[in-house]
Amino acid sequence: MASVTISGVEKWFGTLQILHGIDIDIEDQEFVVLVGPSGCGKSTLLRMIAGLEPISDGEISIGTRVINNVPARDRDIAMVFQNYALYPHMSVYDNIGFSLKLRKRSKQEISEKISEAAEILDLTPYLERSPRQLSGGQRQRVAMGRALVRDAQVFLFDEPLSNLDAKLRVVMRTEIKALHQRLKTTSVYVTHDQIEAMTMADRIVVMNKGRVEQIGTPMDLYDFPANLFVADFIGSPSMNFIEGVVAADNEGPFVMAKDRTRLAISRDSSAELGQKVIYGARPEHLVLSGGSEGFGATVEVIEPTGPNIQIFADVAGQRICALSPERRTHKPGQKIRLHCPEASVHLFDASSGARI
Amino acid sequence: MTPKLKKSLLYWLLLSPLCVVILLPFGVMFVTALRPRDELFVYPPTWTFSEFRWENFVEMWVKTNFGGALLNSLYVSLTSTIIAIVLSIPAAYALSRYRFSGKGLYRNFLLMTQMMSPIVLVLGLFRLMVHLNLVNSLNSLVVTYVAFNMAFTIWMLQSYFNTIPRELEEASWIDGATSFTSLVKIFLPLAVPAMVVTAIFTFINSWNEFVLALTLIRSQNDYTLPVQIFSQVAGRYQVEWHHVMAATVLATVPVAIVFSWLQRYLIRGMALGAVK
Amino acid sequence: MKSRTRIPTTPLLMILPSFLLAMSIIGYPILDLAWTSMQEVSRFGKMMGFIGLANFAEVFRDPLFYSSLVRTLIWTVAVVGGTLIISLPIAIMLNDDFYGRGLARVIVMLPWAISLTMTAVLWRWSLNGRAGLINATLMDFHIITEPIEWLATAPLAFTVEILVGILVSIPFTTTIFLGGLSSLPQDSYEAAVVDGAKPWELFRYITLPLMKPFINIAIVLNVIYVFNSLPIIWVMTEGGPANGTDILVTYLYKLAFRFGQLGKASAISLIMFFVLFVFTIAYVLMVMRQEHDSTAEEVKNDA
Repeated sequence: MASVTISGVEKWFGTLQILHGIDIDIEDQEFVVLVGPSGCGKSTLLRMIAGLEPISDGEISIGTRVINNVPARDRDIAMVFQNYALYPHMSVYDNIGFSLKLRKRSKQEISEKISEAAEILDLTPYLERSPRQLSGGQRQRVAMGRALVRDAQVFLFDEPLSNLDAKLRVVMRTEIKALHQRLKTTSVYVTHDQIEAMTMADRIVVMNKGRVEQIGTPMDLYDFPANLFVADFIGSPSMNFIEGVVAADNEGPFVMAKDRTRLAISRDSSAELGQKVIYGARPEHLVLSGGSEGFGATVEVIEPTGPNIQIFADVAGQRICALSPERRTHKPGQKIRLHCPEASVHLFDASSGARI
Repeated sequence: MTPKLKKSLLYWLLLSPLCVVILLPFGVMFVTALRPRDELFVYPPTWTFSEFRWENFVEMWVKTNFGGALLNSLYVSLTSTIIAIVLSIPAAYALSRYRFSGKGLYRNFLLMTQMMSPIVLVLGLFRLMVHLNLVNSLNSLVVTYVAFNMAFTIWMLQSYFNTIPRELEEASWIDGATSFTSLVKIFLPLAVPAMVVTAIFTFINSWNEFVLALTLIRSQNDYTLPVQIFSQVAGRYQVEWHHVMAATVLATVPVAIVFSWLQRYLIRGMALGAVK
Repeated sequence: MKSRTRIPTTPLLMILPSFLLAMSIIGYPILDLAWTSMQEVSRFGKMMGFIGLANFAEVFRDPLFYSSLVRTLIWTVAVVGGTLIISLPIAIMLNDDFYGRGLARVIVMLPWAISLTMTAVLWRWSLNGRAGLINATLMDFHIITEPIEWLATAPLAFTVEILVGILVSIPFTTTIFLGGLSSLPQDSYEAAVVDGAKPWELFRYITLPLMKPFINIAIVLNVIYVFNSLPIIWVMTEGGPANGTDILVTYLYKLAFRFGQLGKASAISLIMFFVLFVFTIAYVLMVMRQEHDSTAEEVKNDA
């Protein structure tokens, strides 16, 4: 096992720059998730770590070894592909054992390793089958098994769950996490699904347009998003944003929305009077207030999800979402008041998008 | 009557004139090949004949040197197919797997060679073979067939190669395979069906080729089947039609069966390939 | 600019053998033809010296060249047009599910399996004026009373050859169309049906526009193949009677290998080469446009 250091990495396709100076330090035994919208460069970065894509500039090292010019087969990594990439003409047994066979391990050792991996992954009854006779979840496990027997220094995962149905995805998510807790192999995991990122990662790297937006633990990103992009990307349903200008009156500082709605903010905020800002509040932090607290809103749509009710309402001409655990029924058109505790308010500079 | 049955009847009705026109000459071929010689030219002409004369085939085989022409055709078709496939695999692999400058240019070059028909170049080719001292050698046909078939084989192989996921090879590299091992253990086994289908089509193309064989082969001993059969018909006062038809049966029926069996692969190839 | 495109040598080495072979077998003869066309050449292929464009001038003075050229135009337009008109409905039927479709496909594709030479030999015999079974069949059905000499007069022979030409072009064209039809998006049809389109309207507003690229490709490829097709005419009539069914390829072949007029034959070859070249460029542009569309798609999907 080993750390992975990515420093100043760039990727060019001809004259098109895909990655702009990426720096990430992945510690030994860490599970790091690269997350971002499609086209952000996360898969390209992973493929560069794997050795499937040449590195245009910068350096990637595994442990203390710079691997820029080391071919994929000598990097001592294992990878799980989005489409599993199982060899269709080999049995499950041979699929899992292929890497060991290439490394000229003894028959007995290979067989032991395969049984051990099959045991962990519940694949023992399927070893003689061919991949096309397996279900999606089982194929996924075989792909994991192939990585497992390697005792590789680093595991790479390229959106491994995106071809599974929603239910199975949740199950496999937990299994992968459990597996990591057991083996503690340094892992880099790429996904576009922020929930996957939140639930699995020790640390998350949020990427956008070939740049790193923020690196941090899941709760760090959730509580202290560095900018509008991260705030919007992490969390579901996503954070509500209302544009406005910082103002103050005798009750304290607030953000004045376009229609003069008063959105209270903390007295400790470093926002300056008159600064154009974006006021952010997560749906779960918006509570229905009985009294005159908070700000007025007009109910537009009600969506019960089971545990909660999502109330979509108009505030200052913008649609926002509030999560309410109460089963009180509201009607479209009804006026309500919503309140967000000042400590839970996020403020961003309107022009740079950076957190204030 | 179910809608499908109704539709089927309508379709068959519409298709029947074409089917009749397609099948008619084959009927003619069989009834001519099997009838006695003196019933060839009866007036008025008729489909019926007195007896099945299977000896026609034996007679034809002996008299027309059919066996020799068959061997020539087999030699030329097999050799050119093997060489074409061997040369095409790396080219198709490069087109399917690598990004390189000149790739588009090369594909267009191949398209152009596919468009160049032997007939336009036949005079130049003849002169080339004279220079190379290959006229009257079956190898002149082998070389030209390989060249003229290559665009097709490369294109066909490439369109199948594209359906083999690249990740399989990537996975094998990560599993520790060298490029060569990956090619031999992962890629080629998966590409076998594509290679077989392509090889069979190339074989049929070479088997059926006429213009070059007519031009480059001058001595009767080296005739391939199409030229051999043509020579039984052309420029003769007395044509032994029952022999010609017997020879045509033997030369076409096996190929037609194989082709009919494989045509769906060709349609699939068309759907996958350049004509996308 | 830090763009680094390494020049990969592996793929170039992989395409090299096929490239060299194509260059020497297909490229060299073109140069040789160009050279020969400007030489005075003896009957026995001996170069007698440079004569510039005299061979071309001779070609353009030759009435047989013009009649062959006109016939080539008729032949190409008639065969390609007939083939397209017949092939599209056939492809649509074969793409649909009906009883016996497999058999129908095999029959329609059959002419492709047989070499043009063999097909032409079969037809030459079937159409034989004295003993041909086409006459027998037509007489059995009392469509004609006397046997017809199909191949004895040029206009009739040429018409018959065009029909055979159409017949042998149908399988390939149908295959292109089937490939196209199978790639049409099913949901467009479902949407149109839900919108109330009738079968004819489906064809007119969905199938035809979506099939347009395939029809274009079928036209260009067929033009190229038919323009170049020697065996049918050569086997059935050898361009006769009295050069009455000669098209450019048969005339070229006669000049080169019967009359030994190599200089003139080279000149015609070269003229044909340029005609072909124009069509090939048209084809390449068409394919490139399609590929451009599909790669644009791929890039979008990759991202």
